[in-house]
Amino acid sequence: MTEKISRKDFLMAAGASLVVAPMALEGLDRGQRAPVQHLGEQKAVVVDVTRCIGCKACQIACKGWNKLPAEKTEISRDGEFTNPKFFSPITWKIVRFKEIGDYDEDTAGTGGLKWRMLSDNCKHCLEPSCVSVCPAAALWKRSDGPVLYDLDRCVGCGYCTMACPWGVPRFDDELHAIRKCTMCFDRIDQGLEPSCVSVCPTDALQYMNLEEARRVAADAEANGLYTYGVDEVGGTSWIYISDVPFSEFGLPEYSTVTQKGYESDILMKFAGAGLFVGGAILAAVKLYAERREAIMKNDSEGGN
Amino acid sequence: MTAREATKMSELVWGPLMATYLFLGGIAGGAYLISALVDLFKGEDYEVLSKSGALVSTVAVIASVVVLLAEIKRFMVEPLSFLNAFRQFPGSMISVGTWILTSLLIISVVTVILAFFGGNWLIRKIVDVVGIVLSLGTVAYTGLVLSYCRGIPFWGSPFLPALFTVSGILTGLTMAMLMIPVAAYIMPKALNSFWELYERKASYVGMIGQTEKYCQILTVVEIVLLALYIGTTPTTGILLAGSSVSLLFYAYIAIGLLLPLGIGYFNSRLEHQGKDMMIVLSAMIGQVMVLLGGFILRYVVLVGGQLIH
Repeated sequence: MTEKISRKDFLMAAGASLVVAPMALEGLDRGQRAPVQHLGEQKAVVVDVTRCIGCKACQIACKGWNKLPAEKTEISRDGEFTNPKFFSPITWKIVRFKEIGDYDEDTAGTGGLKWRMLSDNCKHCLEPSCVSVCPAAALWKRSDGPVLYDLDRCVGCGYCTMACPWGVPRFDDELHAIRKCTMCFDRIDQGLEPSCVSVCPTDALQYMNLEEARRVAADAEANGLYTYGVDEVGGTSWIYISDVPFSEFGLPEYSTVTQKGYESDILMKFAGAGLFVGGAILAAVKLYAERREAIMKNDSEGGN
Repeated sequence: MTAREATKMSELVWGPLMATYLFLGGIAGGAYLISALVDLFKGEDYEVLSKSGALVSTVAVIASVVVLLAEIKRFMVEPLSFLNAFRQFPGSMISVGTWILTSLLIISVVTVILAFFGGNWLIRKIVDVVGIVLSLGTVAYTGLVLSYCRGIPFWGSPFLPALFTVSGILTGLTMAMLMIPVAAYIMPKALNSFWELYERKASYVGMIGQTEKYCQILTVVEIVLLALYIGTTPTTGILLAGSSVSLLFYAYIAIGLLLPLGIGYFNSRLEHQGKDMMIVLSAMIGQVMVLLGGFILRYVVLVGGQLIH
């Protein structure tokens, strides 16, 4: 027996769908976003560790321009002066301080211990992992450098925080969404340099075209210096030059493979392993079934 | 020291709820896979297992979505933001997972409806085949979604999704077995089949024995994949000693792998001794252990990855 829907129920259902449907459609009608927004030539920032004096002006300028509040910090007991030590939703730029080597009284002032500082933030990858993995197209890459995000689209899954090779996007527990350095796109749009670059007193940070930045990096390499960001994960918009290895600053070694290449590699190997394992399971099941059949046959013959 | 090394338990982006989501996703995929395979290749004696699998899959997918929403909480700020997760198909693995889970939910519901009201043989078989593809996709997704995270080398191994796939099938089969009485109660048609089966105790115990053998095969494969995962991923060595998650890792090996194998062996020795109730009870204990182990595995991998570098 079928039940009739009452007029009241019908009106309630119709009313509810009139409220919910536009909200749902509004959520989806923005469509897919292209991962790259074309806005001119790719720019870059060269960070020269050999010039950095650790004044933290860049860190302060970042806070100031982006109106990011201060956060409670503490003096580290492990001999470092990096403060805050890690990125956070309200700290997008940190200066990593590193003592390298051991103090030697015999060579005081000339050798042994070295102080090095590295101004660190989002590397604004040329093919960003965060953009690649975001299910909501909330992150995207501008052709002139910045990797940006749209909080209206963010689903708060936190996938980008795991996918970023440097753990840059940080999860904001109040917004339930991520925040990170924007390369001061709002300054770039007005023909200005990123705020951290603009305040550096020693030109340890320099804003230029990517091609030029790569030439500077190549020259540095030719002079026996280390570089970082030219090839790592397909290249980044922030290119670092140093006279000490970047592992000293905790920057991991990465190949030139981009996120998409990395995903393809994992998927192909998984498929290979899957075929092998699947075959092994099927063979084991078949063997077991045959054995079971043989035992049952023996039992029934024995019974007869 | 890298940026994420400072992560503390209280700062985990993906915590126990995310581990539960992956666990339930694995159960959903595994249970549907078993349900469809049984429906396609086994006789009527196994009908209850097939229906239990479909029911478990439906409930597990719904529960996994609820748990996921509770974990990410963004809906509290933007109520419909979760709809955005459908956008980047097939570009983002989470988008792929969202579509696969949604499709699996539809297929599972259709299967349950067909179980309630009966249905055309051909339609059931088509639904089974589509469901097998989706369920394999679901179990694989629960591992791939982690292994695509380049920032966490701990997860960057193709053996991790393989391990989660096998574990998902194992936990799905186990949950489907455990839920047979519940499924039989909810679905009257299955209930008849269950009582018929139960009255023929030998068949019921036989089914337990046979599924335990399949579970043993899957457990051995899981052990091999676990060894390959640990052996080929540099940072996983820390699991064996020196980290806060080591203890849980050993608990997983004991509770999720070795004890169920032992119980299976114990049950196989009881098979022809007429101790049916003992077999049923110890099988249930083994099933609960497999499920507990499956959850601990996901928790250890998920949390360990964020804490250990």
